[in-house]
Amino acid sequence: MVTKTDPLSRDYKYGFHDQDVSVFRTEKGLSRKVVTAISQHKGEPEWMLEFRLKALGHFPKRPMPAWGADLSDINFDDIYYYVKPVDEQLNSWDDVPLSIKNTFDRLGIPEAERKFLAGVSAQYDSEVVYHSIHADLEKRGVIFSDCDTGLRLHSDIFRKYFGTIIPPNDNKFASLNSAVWSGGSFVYVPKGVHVEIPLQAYFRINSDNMGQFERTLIIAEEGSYVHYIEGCTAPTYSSNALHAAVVEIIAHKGAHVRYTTIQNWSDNVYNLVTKRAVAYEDATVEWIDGNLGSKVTMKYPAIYLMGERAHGEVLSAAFANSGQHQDAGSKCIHVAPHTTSNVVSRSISKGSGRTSYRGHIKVLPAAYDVKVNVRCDALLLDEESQSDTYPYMDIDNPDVTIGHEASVSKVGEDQLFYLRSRGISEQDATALIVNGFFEPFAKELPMEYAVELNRLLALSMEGAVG
Amino acid sequence: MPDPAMLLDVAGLHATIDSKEILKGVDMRIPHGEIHALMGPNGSGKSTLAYALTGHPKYQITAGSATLKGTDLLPLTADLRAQLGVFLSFQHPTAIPGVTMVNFLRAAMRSQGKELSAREFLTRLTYEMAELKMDESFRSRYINDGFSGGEKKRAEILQMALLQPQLAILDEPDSGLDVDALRIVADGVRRAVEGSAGKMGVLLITHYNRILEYLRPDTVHIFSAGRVVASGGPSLAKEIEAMGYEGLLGEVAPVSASA
Amino acid sequence: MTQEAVVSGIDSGVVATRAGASPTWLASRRRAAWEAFSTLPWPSSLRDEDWRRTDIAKLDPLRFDPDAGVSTELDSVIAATHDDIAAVAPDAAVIVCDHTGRVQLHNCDALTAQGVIVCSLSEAATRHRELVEQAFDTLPAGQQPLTALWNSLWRDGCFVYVPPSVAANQPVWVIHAAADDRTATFPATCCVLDANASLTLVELHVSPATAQAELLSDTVSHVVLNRNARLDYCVLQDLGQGVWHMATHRVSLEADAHLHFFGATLGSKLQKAYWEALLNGNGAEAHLAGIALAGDRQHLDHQSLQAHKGTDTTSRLLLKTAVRDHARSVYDGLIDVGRTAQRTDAYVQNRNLILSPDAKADSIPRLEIRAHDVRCGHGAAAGPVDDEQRFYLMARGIPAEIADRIIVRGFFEDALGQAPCPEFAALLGPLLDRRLDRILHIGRQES
Repeated sequence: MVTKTDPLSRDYKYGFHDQDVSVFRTEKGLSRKVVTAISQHKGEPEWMLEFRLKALGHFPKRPMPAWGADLSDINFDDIYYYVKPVDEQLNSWDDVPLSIKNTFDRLGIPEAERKFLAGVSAQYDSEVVYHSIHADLEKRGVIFSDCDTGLRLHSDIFRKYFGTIIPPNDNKFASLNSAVWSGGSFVYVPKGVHVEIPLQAYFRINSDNMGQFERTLIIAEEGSYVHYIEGCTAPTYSSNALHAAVVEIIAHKGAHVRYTTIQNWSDNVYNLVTKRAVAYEDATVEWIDGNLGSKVTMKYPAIYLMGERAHGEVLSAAFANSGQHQDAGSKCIHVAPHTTSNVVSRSISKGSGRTSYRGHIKVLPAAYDVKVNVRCDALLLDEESQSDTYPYMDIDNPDVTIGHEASVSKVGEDQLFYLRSRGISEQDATALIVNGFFEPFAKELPMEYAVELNRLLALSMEGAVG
Repeated sequence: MPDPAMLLDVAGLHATIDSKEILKGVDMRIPHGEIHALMGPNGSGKSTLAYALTGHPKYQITAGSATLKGTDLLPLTADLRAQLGVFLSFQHPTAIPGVTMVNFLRAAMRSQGKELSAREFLTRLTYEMAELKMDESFRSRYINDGFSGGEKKRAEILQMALLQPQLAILDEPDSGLDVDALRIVADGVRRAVEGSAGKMGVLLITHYNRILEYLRPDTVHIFSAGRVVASGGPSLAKEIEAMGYEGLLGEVAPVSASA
Repeated sequence: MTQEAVVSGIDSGVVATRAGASPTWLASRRRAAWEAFSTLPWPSSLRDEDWRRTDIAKLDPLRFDPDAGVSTELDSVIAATHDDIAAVAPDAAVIVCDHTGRVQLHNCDALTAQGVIVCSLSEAATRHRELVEQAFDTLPAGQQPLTALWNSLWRDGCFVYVPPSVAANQPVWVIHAAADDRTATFPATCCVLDANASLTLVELHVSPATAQAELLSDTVSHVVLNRNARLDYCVLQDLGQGVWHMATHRVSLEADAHLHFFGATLGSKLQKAYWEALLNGNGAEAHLAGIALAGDRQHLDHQSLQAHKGTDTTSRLLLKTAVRDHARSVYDGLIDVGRTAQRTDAYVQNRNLILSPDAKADSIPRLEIRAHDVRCGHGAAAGPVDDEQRFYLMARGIPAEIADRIIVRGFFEDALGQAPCPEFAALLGPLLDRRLDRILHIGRQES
């Protein structure tokens, strides 16, 4: 049993871990042998093995990012790329092995499912161990499964879209994911179907020296609506874990996809995720992206506005405590006329934490009558905190209205004084202001998540005022 | 056939915005020197008529004609129509930060071939501003930028006074004004008409009788659903005030009831 | 010798000649800079982040002539610029520098009587070495290829020193003139204000406007403001259409020093200009503003730096650019607040007006904040001429292109209002109007 050695620099209630329960794991490191073993173990078709091996070929050729966070500690040879915890996926909670069930019980998954979810998927290390979906959604043709099942049972749709939005040579971590991917969610919403309550996936890394490389593919057909939520946790080990997911979203004509992330990895996780959506005519894609955990996050959810009147929203909140670097942001690529995008980013740095907003707005020559609004605000809580803002704007069409505003400041003294003059302690007043600062983000979350966010913030804020 | 003796001759005018038809066959004739009032419910298309006559690019003319003294206005861009003598007092004047009123007025007069020497211009400007009881600081302020509602309306009338158009289309020059400001604006309009030796015509879009008491229109037109549904003497305006559009439109025979 | 006139370019021989004519300290600096230039890779839009949007791969600096001589074109552009200055600022001291290394001083007696030193930079390098070194030390000579090239090759330039507590009684106008195809020019401006001193400095970079001649202009201005010094500093770049202009204007501010900088960029084929304020001392304040207007296929790149090290420092930057035709503007600005810079108040703003479909404006206003008690922000915007504004003007009889000119002038107005020297604004106004007329293709009927 591995013991928890890392002193907690941040209160992290998910820092526990279970004993290794894995039934199969590949050897450490990345090789043709490992990739082939993963594919064969899963019994995949030939084209997927070819896809993986091609991606493996790209991986060493793609450079590590020369910008952003420090990634020099990642040792690609010291990682388990595939760890299988159970023999088969289960759809009855009672059948889940006790140790894993305990984990998800402690994370509140079955309770959440009963209360407000249309479907739940729970991934433990490399494989989805539990899966359920409301029967009426299945009847209406909605597919919500893990990605491996998607490949197996819905191969036509799967193959049509898989890897088309984020090709395997897109960047180093997309190459890596494409070579060793396992698990993740496959969501298909047929034409006109509105999935009124959210689908949720829960990602948990349990093994030490583990890499989680899930792959999510969401296809929303014409006029449909779906809200997908993901939450992430991991135990706190002394060595680092790597999470390199790939998420692809296709929002067809008039579809509306909302993707909410509450990332609360423990602070030994490198969270290097590629998320990209295409929005066709009149479609709307929203990334609601909260980054509270991880050691390093580099994640820039992107929206390609391909069809006329498509709309993109990125609403993000980042909290960096001591030892954390949240390098997050957004990309909006306007390809078609009459497209609009709106980006709101709020970030807080505490202790020696560092938040960076990195955004890219690109308007292609054919995209006229485009409106873009970007608003980034950062709050610094301590002497050592850091904040950076890097907004890139490439405008290739004159008929574009772009506004970008950013601010960096500490907690306002006037606001603090006003609250304190009503009898509120400095700590509580600061927490109130911090919560208010995240309000544009919190109000977009389902109630249960907003409450959880506030709780996490309150934990992080303890001792903020010395 | 357009009548060249007529200052403004509008016949069967249809206009659309974003392929939605707003004007549905407007007929209107304004002789030289006359003041015509245009009244009608909100959303009936009065401002659209003003924009269509002055050439706002958002409005497409789909049928009909509009001539000024026999000259077809419709193929002309807004600046050419203004150079011919068409003036629009905007209901909501646009702000243009960074451009001072003085520079703007001189540029406008130069474009219309009405350039004055710097001294003459300043004399005129000072006189007109005094008549409109406008503050000196106005000259160096940016166009409509941060102006109050009343300041914007006066600035519109000031421009009309300096540019001396043939036809002034005044789109609610009285909205949002108090009694004193209303009198100043109305006096400004009357002065411009009288100064033109009886040549300038006015199309006055308004909701209120009060400005009509100052300006005494020759004809009142009632506009509804994109066209003129009734025309009459000043008494028509009084009837509207008494009965409302609904009461009146129910009774007055539609289209060109003459006074 | 006729052969040399045909093939002369930049090589180590030229550097050796320059070093041979310099005092020892400067000679070794020149050689070290050349050494650095020879080893540094040329800026690459593929490799270097700050060159990503400006590609000078096609520019080979070595094929330009660093020893170009006098010509009638050079003398006539100098005379015309001198006349322009006389018309707006007849009392100014004027220093005329050109690509041949000539430096002529005009009307500097009143300044000299105050104890102000006004002379050529080569003379200052010998007679006021410590002052020149103080200024040169603010910018490493061999870090970056273009400044390394400048440090090894500059022929001559101007030097101004204002002694403690002296308020210079005349503005100093510097003309940096160049002309003729394949000329390489390395304009040099060096200015040191001692404690409590004040000065107005205007720097004009000019070459024949209509010439298709291809020139390389690589310039560095070193400015040092000691404690509580005040400088009003204006820079005009009105070079001809064939000029590659590479510029660094670096001002270093000690405690309580104040800078008001204004830059106007109208000319050149391609420009890369660094506008930098280093706020090293506590309480220093830097206000930077500028306008840029680009048409045809011009490529204008501005990189600003507001580097805060002292406490209680303030900086502002406003850059307004208008682009038309196939022109491209690149703006990349950084507010860099160091750990020690508590109570920094900094803002950067970039607004772009895009006048035609093929014009392009990139804007990257960056913030890097390491101190906690700060107020920092930036704003950026890009858009076309507002149709409502244009219609409003056209409704008054103003033709579309004149309306656009009025709107562009209005767009520039708030930045122009920040030019700290009214005489400079008077010089710039007509230049800007003429340039606008050309860019907007307005004929002679409108003046």
